[in-house]
Amino acid sequence: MSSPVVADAQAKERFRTARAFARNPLGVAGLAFVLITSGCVVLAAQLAPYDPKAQDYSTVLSGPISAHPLGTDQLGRDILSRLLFGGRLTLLGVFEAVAVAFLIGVVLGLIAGFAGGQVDNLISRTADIVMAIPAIVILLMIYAITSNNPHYGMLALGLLSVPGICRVTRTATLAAKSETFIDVTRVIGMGRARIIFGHVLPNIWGPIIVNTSILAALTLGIQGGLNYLNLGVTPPDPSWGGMVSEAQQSLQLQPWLIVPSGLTLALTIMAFILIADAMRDATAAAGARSERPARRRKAAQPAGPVSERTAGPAVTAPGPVDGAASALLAVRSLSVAFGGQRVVQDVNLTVDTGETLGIVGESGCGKTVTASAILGSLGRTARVSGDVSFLGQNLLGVGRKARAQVRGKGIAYVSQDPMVALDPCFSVGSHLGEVVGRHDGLRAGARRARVSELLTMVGLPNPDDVAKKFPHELSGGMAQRVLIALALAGRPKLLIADEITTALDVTIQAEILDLLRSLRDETGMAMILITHDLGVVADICDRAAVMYAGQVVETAAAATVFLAPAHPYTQALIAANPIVAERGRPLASIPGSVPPPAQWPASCHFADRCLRVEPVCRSGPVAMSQAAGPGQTARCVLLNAGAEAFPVGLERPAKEGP
Amino acid sequence: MARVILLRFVSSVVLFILVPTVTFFVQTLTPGEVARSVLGIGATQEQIDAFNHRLGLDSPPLERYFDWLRHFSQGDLGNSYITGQPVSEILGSRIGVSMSLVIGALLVYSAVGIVIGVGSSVGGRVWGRVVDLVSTIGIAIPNFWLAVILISAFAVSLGVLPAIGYVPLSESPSGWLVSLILPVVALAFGGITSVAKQARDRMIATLDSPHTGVLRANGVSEASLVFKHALRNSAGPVITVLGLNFVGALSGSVVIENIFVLPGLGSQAITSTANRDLPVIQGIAVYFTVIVVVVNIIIDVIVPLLNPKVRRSS
Amino acid sequence: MMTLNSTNRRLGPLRIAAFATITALLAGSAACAGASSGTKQTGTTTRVLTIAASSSPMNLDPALNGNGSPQMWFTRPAYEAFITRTPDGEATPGLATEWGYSDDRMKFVVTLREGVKFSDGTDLTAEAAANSINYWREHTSFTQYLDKVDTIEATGPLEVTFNLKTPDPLLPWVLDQNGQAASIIGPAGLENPEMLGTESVGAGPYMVSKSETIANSEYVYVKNPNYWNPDAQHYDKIIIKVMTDNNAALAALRADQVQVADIDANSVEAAKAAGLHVDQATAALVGIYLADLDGTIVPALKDVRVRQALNYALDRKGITEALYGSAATPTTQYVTEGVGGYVASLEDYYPHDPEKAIQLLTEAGYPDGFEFTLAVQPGALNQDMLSQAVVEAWAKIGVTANIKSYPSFADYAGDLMSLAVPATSFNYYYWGGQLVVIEGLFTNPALYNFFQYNDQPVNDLVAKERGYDLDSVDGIKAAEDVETYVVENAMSVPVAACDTILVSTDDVTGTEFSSVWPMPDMTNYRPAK
Repeated sequence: MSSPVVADAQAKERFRTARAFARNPLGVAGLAFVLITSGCVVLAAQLAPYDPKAQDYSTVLSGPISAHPLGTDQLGRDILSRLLFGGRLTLLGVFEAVAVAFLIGVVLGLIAGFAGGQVDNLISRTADIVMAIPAIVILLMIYAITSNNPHYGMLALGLLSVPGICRVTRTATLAAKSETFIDVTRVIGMGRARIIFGHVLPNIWGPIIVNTSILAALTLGIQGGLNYLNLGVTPPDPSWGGMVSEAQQSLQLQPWLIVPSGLTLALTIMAFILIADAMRDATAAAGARSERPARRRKAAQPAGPVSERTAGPAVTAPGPVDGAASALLAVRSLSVAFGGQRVVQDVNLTVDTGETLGIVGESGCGKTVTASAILGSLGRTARVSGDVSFLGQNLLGVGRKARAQVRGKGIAYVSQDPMVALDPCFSVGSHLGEVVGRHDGLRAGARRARVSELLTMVGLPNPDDVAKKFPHELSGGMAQRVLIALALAGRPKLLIADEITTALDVTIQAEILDLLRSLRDETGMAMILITHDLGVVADICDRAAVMYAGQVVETAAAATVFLAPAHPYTQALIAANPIVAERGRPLASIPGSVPPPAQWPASCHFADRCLRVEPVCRSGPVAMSQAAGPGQTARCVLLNAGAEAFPVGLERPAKEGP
Repeated sequence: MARVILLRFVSSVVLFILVPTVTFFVQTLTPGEVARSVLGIGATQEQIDAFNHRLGLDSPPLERYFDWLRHFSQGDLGNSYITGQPVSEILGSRIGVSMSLVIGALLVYSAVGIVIGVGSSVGGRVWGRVVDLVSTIGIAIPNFWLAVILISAFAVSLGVLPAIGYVPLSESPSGWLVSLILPVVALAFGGITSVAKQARDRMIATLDSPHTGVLRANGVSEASLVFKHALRNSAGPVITVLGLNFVGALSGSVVIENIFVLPGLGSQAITSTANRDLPVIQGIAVYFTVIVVVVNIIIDVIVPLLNPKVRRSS
Repeated sequence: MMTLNSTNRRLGPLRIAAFATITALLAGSAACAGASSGTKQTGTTTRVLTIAASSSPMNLDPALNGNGSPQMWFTRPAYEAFITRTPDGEATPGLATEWGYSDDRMKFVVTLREGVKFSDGTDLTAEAAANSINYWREHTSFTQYLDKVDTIEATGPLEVTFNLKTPDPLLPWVLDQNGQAASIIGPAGLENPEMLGTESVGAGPYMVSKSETIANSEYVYVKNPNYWNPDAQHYDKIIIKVMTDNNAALAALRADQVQVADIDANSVEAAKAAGLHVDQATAALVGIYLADLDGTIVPALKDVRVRQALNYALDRKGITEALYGSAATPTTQYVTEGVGGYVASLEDYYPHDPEKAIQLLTEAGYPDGFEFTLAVQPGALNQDMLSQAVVEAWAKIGVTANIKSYPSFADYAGDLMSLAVPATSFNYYYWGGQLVVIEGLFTNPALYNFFQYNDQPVNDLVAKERGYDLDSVDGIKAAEDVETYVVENAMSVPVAACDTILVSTDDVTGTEFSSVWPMPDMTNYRPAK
């Protein structure tokens, strides 16, 4: 990677942030309001209908009239004109305070974040101390000793606000410093200053802008209050806060007058807050999008409110449950869409009692969404159709209560990344105890015993010690075992395990798989293992379902999948898998990547990456059809054109392996 | 954690010395004499000299400063230049008012904020939007403007609540409560929104997190997920925000006390600053600093108790 | 030789040559400050009067009147003076039973009431009284009021004699309850003046309840058990609450939390609409004081034509109506009708005439105007708005006055005393009349003549006025001569004569007051039944 690439990435990042900001109507409105207001204030001399000091004793304390759209004050001065001119002092003051805080805060924050050690310590401690200084007392004094000079007070306020900006900058700098590309630029040998200004600063922009905008809002409020107290105002020059105070004096005669100045102040503060909110969201969104796919856990699942307590996902056209009665779990014609975008299409799966099914595919294929649909944990924004029949009951059609009955007792769940899958605030014992209590309703003593038993079952040697530990005190393997124990607590008939080995190192992976195998044998429960690792399938699964771009493209007995894959995608996956790769040959990979849902064609989803693609592949939807092996089905129009294994195109390894 | 609190104490000592020191030198080294406040415009130079001599203001600033520091280290904040009353006595009668106001506001904005925040976190997207909007509006309304509007609406137009003034708790508990309603509302309003927002964001983050998914899928009830797990996970950050708001409300109380003529530290700060009553100003600075430090220490203690992870990292 | 005290007895209320004591000259924080009082029956026996005052006192020591705010409100309940002036201006016996000038007018002799005790139980003696006045004289910034007095001594157990350097007709005013010089402090207070800031040692009807008082917020007074005239203690307790906001004061009145309040002109209509009782009388002048009459820092101000131009520039009628409605009258002179020295023809001596103003400026050599700083301490009588109005009017004749607004009285006073500013907004009560005002502002030396301006004609005219009884034909004529000279020479810029407005509920009577005696005295208030 070279530095132009880095710069390019940053430019993209910024562009992304700006675009995300532009998509937020409230943020845009806030920015527009601030810009327009500032513009009007700057151009007050041109825009104001009157001189802000011009008095007209014939029209005093007027409400809004055509000659004075916002009324007049006690000296017959035009309120609109005074607002426009008053904005000068007001916004200039805010600018002064914010500029001081920004300039000093960013510089100190960068120094603290970059230098670290004693320098960081000194700056951070000083910032803490300054933050605890009662600012208002200092400000009152400043105004008293500077004879009400409007600028010194605001500059002092800026100085007192430095720690806030400094902290944010420091935190963001620390984060940016640890980012890979900064390391890269360091290696390349760029100067420190160039690193700071060229790379760190552009990347910590977001949080700084957010906090600067909030600071502007707060400063407006504080300044308004001080001006209201006649501090920092220079009559007859108007200020917004001072106008509120003037209006209050004639409240009995013309109550309207407290509206224009106060409202302008409130709207401007609000605009700054909206900018901050939008900027925060935009930074977060851009950050999320720029994350490398390997680090994404739920590639296909858009973030959204997760709670489905009040209403499950909308279910349309639940299909018939025919032929599924014998299976433990039968998924028929399952489709899931988010905001009109289908991410899972027409999925059919069955799991028999005691059977282990592997769902395999690259990231973004819809594996996790399928599992979530079965678990009923998709957000409200999801539109789900088809049916998910568990022990003959269509889970998509049942109410909250029935669904809750199934959870843990019928179907249990072990998630990927065990380190974040436990509530950090509660101990292991507390987690297990709650679930045990839920399922078995035992008394405290018996509950503890059951917790102990569960922890023993998952192979944790000192269950009572483990029970006392908090999640952050566990290793990854231990946490994964605890999660499995949690899932076992309800003695489930089906365990869904989503990429449970991905986050663990290789030896622990094997241990966990061994544990699952023995537990399956002990309890006779069925399992669905979601994985992108064919090794897992080979190791433990009875049957496998291969998913690609939202569809199941092949189902077969596990052995069949490895020995006689029917679908070109399955074949490519296997060719790319280290297990089957020949020693000394570079690992094969599938050219291209899984297309995002929006680009899925109506015809074969894999056509664009398929080495055997033919015109017929693009002619229309492809249905599952019987393939050579027993119980083997695949979604390929070419199935009958040649059943034997075809050579797999070998490519240089790309960044993403299966 | 002991280390954190120890650090707090050390930096507090710095603060306790720093703030009054800054106050002292800023006030002392700039023109404007307290004698003028007390004696008025027509006072002769002899009268002013006599006044300054009586209060020891004619000795060199450094000497006065160290004199003050010596007394301060013994817990003596000195006497007001203006009334001769001991500063601790003046402020002692006022801190109760300020605390009634600020703690009252704390209760209001934390209760309302958490209820709104939690409610909206489980109420879905529309509720979230509504809370966002209301929050933004709430935070945008300057407290002094709201105070004026409240006075004009409730006290002037409707005449249902007292506009102004303070009834000591000892005099009449109900009167005390009633006299605090408007000022507390005016002061609390802006705080509600940031608490609600923080509570909601944290609740949603927790409810969105993998561990909630795992717990739900394994049978933990929604009520427990929301009120036990999410609430507990949100408590630390929310309390941190409550603390920040408390400090903010302390500053806001200066304006609010002035508008509602509450005899608290804030209104005294304005009067004493205008009169150059240095010992009182220093006293107020010390009191405010103590309050801020105490609040920070409380937060430092509470937050790790709620979240073992923080406990460890500290 | 005049009989002692007959002087006072003879004074008819409206013919008094209005001796004004300037209690709140120069932008004191609330000259028009209100004090509201009210009766409140709490229980069957305790009668409580609650008053809302629009500003707070610096200190409760009668001698330390600091910023000139109407401190009298807060010291009056606890301290009684030699002379008690009635709402119509008549001087009646207070701690003194008789008083008067010697034939040569070089002595003023006061006879004290027998058997009076201070609130701490010690006796009032002539020596204690003399000591108290000397203490006041030493500490007060209104020391000018006694600067014609050489010595004050006890010339008998109950006789205090003021030995004068020159004749001074003002003493019966200075020694009344508003003058405060004779608000006699007991020996215990003089021994330990520190305590006077928060407690009282007086011979007034009430005494400060230190434990219930919260400085700057609420001042509580309870009955003085040793008061000489228990019949005049109409209440068991008086509470003075500081309420800076009119809206709040009105609300409190309507809720009967407060029985009397002073309000400003903006709230008069609302008070009447609310059915409250309104007492109103012309009471105070508001305007701009041109201190730098010698042109020390602003040479232009030395030229009478310039000062006249500044006067012609103002549309007083417009300003007055806009700021005070019907609660003020535009004026170009220093006293109001009914007060000695008032000259009807001076009432509109400088009509609004910007062209003439410009012409005068041109003649004076300032065709392009000039620039100076105007000191303003926001406060009573809408002075901040008044200053803004005046400054804008001056801008129209090319004169730039930059307002300097002070949050701190100490800084304001400091700037005036150090001659940093040439002019300030000001206001003062007509209490007492013209002599004190003119003396305070324009003679040399004088309390507010910071720049040591020395104008011999004024000095001479005032000295002449001083030689007469103020209510005599000659005295009034002399006062009118002074008034005419000062107005014709445009020595400052009066703008309006404002009303003091006192609002009360039905529960209280005795709240009336007059232009001659515009300082409401709450010891006159009594329950309506």
